[in-house]
Formats: sequence, structure tokens, C-alpha cells
Amino acid sequence: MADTKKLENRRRFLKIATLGMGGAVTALMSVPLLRFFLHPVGRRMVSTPEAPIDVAGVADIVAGAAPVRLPIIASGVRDAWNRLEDVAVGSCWLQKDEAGTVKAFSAVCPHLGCSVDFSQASNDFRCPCHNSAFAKDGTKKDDGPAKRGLDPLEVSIVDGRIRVRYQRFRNDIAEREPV
Amino acid sequence: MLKRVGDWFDERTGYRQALEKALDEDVLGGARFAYVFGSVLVFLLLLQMTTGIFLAMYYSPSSSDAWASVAFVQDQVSAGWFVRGLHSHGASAMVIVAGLHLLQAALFGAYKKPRELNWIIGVLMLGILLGFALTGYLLPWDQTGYWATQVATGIAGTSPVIGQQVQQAMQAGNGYGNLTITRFFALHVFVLPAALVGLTFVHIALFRKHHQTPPWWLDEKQLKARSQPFWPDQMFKDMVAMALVFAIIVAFNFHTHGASLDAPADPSTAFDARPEWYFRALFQGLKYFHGIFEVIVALGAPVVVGGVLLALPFVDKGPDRSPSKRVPYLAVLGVGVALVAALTLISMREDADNPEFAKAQAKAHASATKARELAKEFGVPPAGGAAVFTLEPGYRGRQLFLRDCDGCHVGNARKGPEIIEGYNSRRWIADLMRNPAAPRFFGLTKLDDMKPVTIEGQDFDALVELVYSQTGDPLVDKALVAKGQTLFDEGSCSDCHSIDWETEGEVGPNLGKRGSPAMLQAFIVQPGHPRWFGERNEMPANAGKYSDDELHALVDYLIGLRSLSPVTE
Repeated sequence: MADTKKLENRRRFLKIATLGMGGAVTALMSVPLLRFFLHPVGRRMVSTPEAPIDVAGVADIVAGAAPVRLPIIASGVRDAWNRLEDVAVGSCWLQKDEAGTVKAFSAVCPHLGCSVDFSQASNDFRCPCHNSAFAKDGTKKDDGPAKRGLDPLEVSIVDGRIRVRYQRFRNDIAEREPV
Repeated sequence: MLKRVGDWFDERTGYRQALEKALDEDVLGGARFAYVFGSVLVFLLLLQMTTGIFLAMYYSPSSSDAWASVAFVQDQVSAGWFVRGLHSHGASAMVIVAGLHLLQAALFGAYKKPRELNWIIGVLMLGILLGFALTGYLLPWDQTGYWATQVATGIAGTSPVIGQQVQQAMQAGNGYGNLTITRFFALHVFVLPAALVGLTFVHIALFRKHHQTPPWWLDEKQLKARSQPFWPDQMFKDMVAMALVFAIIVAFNFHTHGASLDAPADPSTAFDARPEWYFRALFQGLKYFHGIFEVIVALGAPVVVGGVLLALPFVDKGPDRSPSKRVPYLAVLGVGVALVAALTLISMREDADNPEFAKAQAKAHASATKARELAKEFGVPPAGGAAVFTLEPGYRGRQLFLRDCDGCHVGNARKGPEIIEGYNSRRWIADLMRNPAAPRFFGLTKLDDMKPVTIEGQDFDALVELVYSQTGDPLVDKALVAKGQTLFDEGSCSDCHSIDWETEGEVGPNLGKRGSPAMLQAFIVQPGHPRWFGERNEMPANAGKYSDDELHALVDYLIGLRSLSPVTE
């Protein structure tokens, strides 16, 4: 009888020890695996160029005409392990008013990130995905789900060339928060 | 609470009964450490699958991306080196433990009736393991993997009659490229795992059907009397072994800081590759055979080894499992193991005693370090892993130099002053002043008539410092420069040279800004300018030959030489 009891205790110990060791190995393994998995979170895996990017000559844009979409071609872009030269990282809508002031909007819809089009017919920006609408000056129109207007991009003019500082912002919030 | 959740699931799945059935098995003769190898292999298989799946989240199977993505994992991703190292060392552990598993099974006579089929399945699984090793070795697309695998597919190519077809099927085409890597990748992560997991299930199912092979030295009664339940008695021992193997792999992984990663595969280089250690015996064995025999051994050895193992249950058919009754069969296995061990050791030994190999290794290591540093700092161009070297500062300039300047300024066929490491350093300037007509300097040109400077001591240093200061290096001794200027003006230097950039048409070249970026650029474009060598110049002018970028790159390269120590005197 005492033997059975001893055997039972021994087996209970073995069970606990076995599960304990298995649990320990699993726990030890999960730390590096989790760090590995979460590495890209909060890190810049695809870089956006910091410096302003040349998109067009001031004279190439007709004053007062409808906005034009121009690609943002960047160099030295890091995409995880790659270094890319002359790649399109996005596009912007450029317009010049009669006074010659140049404005640029990011073509990324502030709603959920589709690419916004300009409609000649209604003379406003329209997003093809969920029908967000923005006036020609970028302000949000009442119809459509976007929570803010189009995101303006910083424009500088050097030697008659238009340079745009490309940025991306968090989508679907009222504030403008760079990512 | 936990119990109620358990009940809920049990009612709907009956998992408790299934679990009981899975764990409830009597181990005849008692639990033993001799039986742990199979469980350890299951553990290692899970470890390989887990680390493999995680690695696949970063790995990119293409000839232009593979190395870069692996270098990214190794040098940049959090715990990347650790996960990759576990996968690599885990593979080695699997080969070792599988070998021990096979030897244990052989010793206990586990291949005998009714377990022949499970023995055969085990041998096939061992073959699959080696398939994993072969395909996995290539995936990083580094020098070692690339060249070692070339040998493996090359061996396949020597097969009789269909060799070419076999080789082309393996490497997917006439040579190594994107399709080779996608093919190896698909085999490594889809085909082989599916095959191995499937066979593992069959292997375990058959094992459960026939149970473990009990010790031969116990009779039926003793076996029954000493039997213990699999759970927890055997499982505990299994778990101790798993934890131990895990600890060893982790410790080894820290020791090696993960798996090695060589420089990116470069078909244009020579590389002294070695296969993974478990193919070393075959690698070494092949060295002893030549011509047709090499082919026979390369293809025949694996067939013979596999054939012997597969045939074992059908040759040794007697019911007695006592090793003393099976000496000839076990001796064959023993000789095989000893042969493999001996060849492996000889191979390692030969490498250790080979200074040429050590040199090649050191060179490969330096190249790998350089490539990985560049990849980490700049990223890898989409052209592929080896293109990372083009990002090295000075690379473009060096290429231009090699193309246009090297012929006259480096080596024995030189026509002008030697331009190598140390060019325009203080030491170089001092040597030039002491012996301007030496072949290193102007001895091979028409400009060999300058008299050696004979001033000694600090005055000489002052003159050297003055000339060196013209390079624009801010780290100069200003007092010494001023002293040098006085000596220059008052002594015989100024008879032939100016040092102001403006004066032209003197006997010797104007030394103003000598060795500075501005001077080098202008000089390369027009060395015969009256400021320098004028009529007596022999170097071709390069006006209009280079773009501004190219000229900058070339000059950067020349200036970079200054701070490098000279290779030759």
C-alpha cells in the first residue's frame, strides 16, 4: 500500500517535471521568436525620402489649370534589405494659381489610403474607393467618409524647379499625424 | 473554470479519451534513456518547422534577393541571428540524433519481424533529412552554398545516360539562377516537409502498433514485471533528453553567434567551398578516386549505404535479437560508421594543416564581413547580393582607376610614378624628395632630373610637412609648415618650384595645392598645363573624358590611398 502511494507520488512528480521542462523550453523559445516576428513593428522598413524631391519645372505647370498628378521619384530608398534608386514612392497633385503660387497635395486619400483622382467634370478631387470628395483647394467636402482634407505637401522652389517633400500620414483620423 | 472549459470541449471532441489513448501505453521492461531518440527527433522536427516558418517571413527566394534577405535576418532583424542559427544547428542536431536513433534501433534489433517496414521508413526519412540539408545549404545564396551545391549537382550530372537531364532538372535549366533557388526553396519548404511529416505519422503509427523493441536480455516475464507507463515515466526521460539537446543547441548557437553567412554568391570568383560536415565523408572519399571511379563512388556510395540499410531486415532474418548472435551484421554497420568518422576527421585534419586553405578562408571571411557591413549600412542594390560591393566608398573611383590609370601607374609595365596605397602620404613625399629619380617616382619619365633633397633632421620634416599640407589635410603641424615655407623660399627648392598655384612655366611643377581634390581634378584633365609639367608632360590629357561625378569618384579614390599603408616598399 505504501509502495503504491510512493509510486503515485513519484509519477506526480514526473508529470509536473515533464510539463515544467516542456513549458520552460516553449517559453524560452517564444521570446526570441516573438522579438523576431515583431521586429518590423515601429521600425522604418520602407524609407520615405527626407529631402525634397524635384518633380517639375515651375514653367511646366499652367497657372490656373486643373491639378496634375506627378510621380514622386526617389533615390536611395531602403526597402528592408534593398537599396533602390529612381523608384516611384508615390504621387502628388500639383497646381499653380494665377499668382504663380504652387501647391501640392498627397494623392493618398486620408480616408483609407486609395489614390485620389481629380474630376474635371465636377472640378474636385474624388477617391474612387469610397467616394470621399475634396474641393480643388484640398478641403474636405461634406459627402464621403474622409475625416480630413487632402494632405498638403511642403513645396519649395529652387532655380525654377518645384521640389516636394513627400510624407505619409496616418489615415482615417481628423488630425494630420505623420507616420 | 478550467475544468468546465475542458468539459465543454471534451463533450464535443472527446479529446480526453484520445489523449489517454495517445499517452497510455506500457513500456515493456521499463522506461529507458535508450528510447529517447525518436522523441527528441520529433522535438527537433517541431523546432525546425517553427524556426523555418519564422525565417520564411523574411526570406526572399530569388538569386538577386536571397543573400540580401538572409544578411538582413542575420545582421539586422531582432534575434534574427539566433533564429537562423537554431535552424542551422538544429539541422545538424537532427542528423546526429537520427544517426543515434538508427544505431539504437540496429543494436536492439528493431529492424526484425514484424518491424521491417518501420525500419525501411526510418531509412527513407534519413534520406529526406539529407535532402533538407542539401537544399537548405544553397538557400542563403552565399559563396559556400553556391559552390558546394555546384559540386552536388555536378555529381548528379555525371550519372550515366541521363546525367545531363538529371542535373538540369535539379538546377532547373542550364545553369544556376532564379529557377534553381525557387526549385530548391519549394523542395525545402513544401515537398520535403510534407514527405517527412507524413512519414513521421506513419512511423509513429507503426511504432504504436508494434511497440518499442524491448531489451533482448529480459524474458517475457521480466518485461511484464518491469513495465512502466509511457506517461509519465518514459515521457519524463524523453523530456530530459529534449531539454538537454535544446540547451546544447542554444549554447552552441551563442558560441558561434548563429550560422555562418559568407559573401554573396559570385560566379566570377574562385572559391574553396566545403560541404556541410555530414557530407564531409563523401567529399573526402571522392578525393581518392579519379576518372570513371570518381563517378562510380560518388553515385555508388550513397546507393550502397542506403541499399545495405534497406536490405538489413531481409538478410538478418533470425528471430534472435541478441547482438552476440548478430555480430557480422552489426560489424558491417560498425565499419561503416568508423569509415564515415575516419573520412570526416581526415578531411577536417587536411584542412587544418593546409595553409593555403587557411589563407582562402581568411580572405573569404574578410570578404563576407565587408559585404555584410555594406549591406547593413547601405542596403543591397536590386542587381543582387554581389552588387553590394559597388556601394563601397571608392568603388567607382577604383573601377575607373583600374580601367584608365592602372596600366601606367601600377605594376611592372609602369610608365609613370607608382600610385598605390600610401600615395601622397608624408612617407611617400619624403621618399620622393630623397630619391625623385627612383623607378617608383619619376625614374621612368622624362622628369627624372630633380636633384635629391639632402637636408637632414627637422628641416627635412618641415619641408615634407609643407608639401603635405598642400593636400588640404587639416591635421598638419602649422609651425612645422611655416618653418618649411621659410626653408622652401630661402633654400634651393624655389629655384625650380613655386608653391602658390598661380606661377606657371617654371622648371619644376608648381607645388601649390599639390594632392588636393581641386589640384588632382585639374591635373587629371590637363597634366600638361604650364603650371605643372608643361611641354615635358607624357601623361595623356583627359579633358571631356569624365563626367563631374566620375572625376570626383576618381579623385576620392586617389585621396583615399593616402591614409592606407603601402603594401610594398
